[in-house]
Amino acid sequence: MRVLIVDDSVVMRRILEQALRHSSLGLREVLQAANGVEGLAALERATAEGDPLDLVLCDLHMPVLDGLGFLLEKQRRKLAPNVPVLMITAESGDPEMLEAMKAGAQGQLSKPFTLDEMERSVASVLHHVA
Amino acid sequence: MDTAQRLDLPSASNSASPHGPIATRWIALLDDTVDEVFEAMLRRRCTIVEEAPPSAAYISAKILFSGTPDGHCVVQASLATASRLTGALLGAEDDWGDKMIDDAVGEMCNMIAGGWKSRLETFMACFQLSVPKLSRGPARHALGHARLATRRLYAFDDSVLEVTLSLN
Repeated sequence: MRVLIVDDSVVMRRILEQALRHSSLGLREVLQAANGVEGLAALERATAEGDPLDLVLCDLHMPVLDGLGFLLEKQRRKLAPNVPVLMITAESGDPEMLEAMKAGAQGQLSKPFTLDEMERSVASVLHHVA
Repeated sequence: MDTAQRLDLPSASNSASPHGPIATRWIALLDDTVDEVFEAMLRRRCTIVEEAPPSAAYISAKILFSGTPDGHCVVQASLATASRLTGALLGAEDDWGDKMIDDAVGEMCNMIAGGWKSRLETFMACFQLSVPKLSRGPARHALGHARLATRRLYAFDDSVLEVTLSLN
């Protein structure tokens, strides 16, 4: 599984990467991006290289281009339409999550999370897409 | 006089001084949130303590609440504690640079403020959270003159993390 992590926090990107590597999800590679613009570029590159991603973990609140902006642009450009996006948020009732779901997010992972919770959220999103 | 006592709220931790039911509930929710963050992300328990050792320098992350109520949440630690916190979050000891440590303290504030807000009843949570603003300096964060303010001290691994909640 190839996963793209889009988060402005270096610490959170490392935590998510470690959690994915320790999980039973069959991780092959992790790509990282610090904001929505970099995330879109990574999606484009992966598609152009013929090695598409399997999942995007995307923070909702980021500078430059936030999670909602990333989703809307991904949708507008019809970029990797089959690659699901799991939003990461620190606030479980974040009102922007509703907009994110309308914009194509497949699920939400609220911080803090345990390894089990992360694995279940990822598995649920991948199962839904399949 | 400690500002928290002037506002008739518990100062550092389990004070016996009386305080209103809303403040009591909000503090309990804060403790619950911090507990969850420590268990889930740092994989360790924390305990509430009365005092934190003084430090020559502190790093703090502040998230503003805009709306009703308005106020802020501050997570503050000595540089040594912040470094241990970073190691605990990342599951490894290392000589973490300033950027990683700032990021870690910011993320803690993010999770605590977000988690606390998520626990409030919907009608009491009509406010937006800002991104964390980091700062370093010699002085501990002052409680100020908010209508409700509390400073809680959470001990872990011989370190103490301070969390301040101020609401107007």
